[in-house]
Amino acid sequence: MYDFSVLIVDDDEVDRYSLKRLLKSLNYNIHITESEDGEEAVTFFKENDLNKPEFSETFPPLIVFLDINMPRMNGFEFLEEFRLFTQNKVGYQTMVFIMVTSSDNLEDRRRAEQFDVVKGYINKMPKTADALLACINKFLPTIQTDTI
Amino acid sequence: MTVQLRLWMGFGVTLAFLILVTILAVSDAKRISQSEQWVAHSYEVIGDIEVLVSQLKDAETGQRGYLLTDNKAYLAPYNQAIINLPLAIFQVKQLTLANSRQQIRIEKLQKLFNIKMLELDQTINLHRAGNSTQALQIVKSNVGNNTMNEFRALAREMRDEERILLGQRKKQAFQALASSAQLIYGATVLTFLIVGIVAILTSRSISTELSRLKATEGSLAISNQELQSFIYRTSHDFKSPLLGIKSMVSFIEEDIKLGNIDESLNNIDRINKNIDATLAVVASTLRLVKTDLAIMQIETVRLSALTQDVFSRLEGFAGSRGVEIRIGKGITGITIDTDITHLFTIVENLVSNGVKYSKDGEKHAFVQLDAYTDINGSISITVADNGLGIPQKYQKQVFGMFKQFHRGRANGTGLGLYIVRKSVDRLNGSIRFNSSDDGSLFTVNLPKVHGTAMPISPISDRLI
Repeated sequence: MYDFSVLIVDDDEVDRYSLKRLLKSLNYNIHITESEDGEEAVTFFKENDLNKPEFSETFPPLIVFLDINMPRMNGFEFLEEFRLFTQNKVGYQTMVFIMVTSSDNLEDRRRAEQFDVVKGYINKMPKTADALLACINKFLPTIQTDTI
Repeated sequence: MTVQLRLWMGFGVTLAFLILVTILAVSDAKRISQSEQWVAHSYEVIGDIEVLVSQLKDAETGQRGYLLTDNKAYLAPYNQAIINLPLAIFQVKQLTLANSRQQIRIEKLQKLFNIKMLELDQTINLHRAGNSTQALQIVKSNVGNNTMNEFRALAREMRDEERILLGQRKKQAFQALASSAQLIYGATVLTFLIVGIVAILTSRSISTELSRLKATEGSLAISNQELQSFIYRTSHDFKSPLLGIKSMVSFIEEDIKLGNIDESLNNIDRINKNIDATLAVVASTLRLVKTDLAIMQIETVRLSALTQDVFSRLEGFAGSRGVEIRIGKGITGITIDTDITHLFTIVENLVSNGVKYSKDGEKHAFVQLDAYTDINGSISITVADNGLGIPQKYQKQVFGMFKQFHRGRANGTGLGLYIVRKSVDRLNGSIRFNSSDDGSLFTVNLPKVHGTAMPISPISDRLI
């Protein structure tokens, strides 16, 4: 059915749309879930936890695109929550986080790098699409071999 | 009082005291020297009286020698006495002018002297004229001796009186010295005491000033942090919708080329939303900057007029969201001496928050404005609503910058309550709230007259 699934956590509807459009332009069949902030994403993980029978091929997502500045729970707070949530749990080790943010703050970048699960950090810029594609491609080879 | 003023005052007090001590010491020194002069005066009088007696005695001895030996050389003391004694008597008279008893005695002494001199004169003249026998008879008659004894007795009386006076004057001089010593000791101790007190007070006020400076430094650091976080977030909030617009434009270009008109229209809608978001950021940033920069103008504000203005401003927005703005009766008649711009900002933000975060589908959504005068005379303005409320876990961050706790509410920048807090601070007031699923109640407490002291709100501590 799906080649892989992704989760987009971003409060900005336009940003989510842009990313979706970009993902759809790839030649994959991608399952996309959206969360408007960290709290909604936490709920998403809790409700679809591996231990539950309703676990599906769309969960957990292979890539999480995570914004930093969001109301209620921001990207960093979410990463902390996620770390606590996945402690002693199997099945989440293959997951990859890509920070997508309009912040070009160095401190944010350093803070993000301290999380092992974060494999990419992309600034939202007019030419973000190319950077994103390059970034995503790094994590796709396994899927490509699977699907071909 | 400024520290400079305190320092000058401390210096002034010390200086004034030192001047006072100097004046006292100088007048004391005068007193001592006067007493000493009086002592010397007494000695002088006593000495002069003794000279009187001895000179008169010498004159008498000379007379006797002359009468017995006919040697004129014996008359030398007599001749001297004629010239010297009236002068000596006059001198004693002058010295004892202030003493009436001595004046009476000196008068008597003068008379006795005259009698004595007359007797001496008479006998010497008789002797010269050859009447030696007659002269000796006068001498033998003891008249001269009696006069001399009276003179001596009187002179002794005068001396005794002067001795008594001398004793008194010595005592006075000693007392003057003693009291002057006491004054100097006392003044020294007091000077140390005053200098000590001034030093303690000065150092205390300096340390108060230092701790005040430290507090200012601390609050500057906080506002610096706030400023950094402000710049960080505003740059994000400006950039992100603009970047969105930019990518939408390229999508629209793409879609138009592909003929996807519907999708293009959707994206134009998204562009509009982003423009609105940017405008909202601009508006609230401007408002925040204004809040920070605004020059305070204190005037008497009628609360009813102010709430009416807020009502007119937000009526349309409230209507569009089906929220009723109610103005309570407590507002009527209340006036506050404060800055109207800040007060308006506070009330408008609180009411517009109430409208913005009303519950969807609530048939009787409302925001109720009211006010009352506290026991301590300050004014409390309340804004109550039956909206979404602030989730318990976010309540500590309510007044922070860029805090938003509800999703999907248009035009929120997360600055509203931060601006409110800043304005409340500027008006020396405090703000607190209660919030649950059933709604929120914000209470702003302001001094009735700006600049008067306010009781510290226990809740305001946890808000910052």
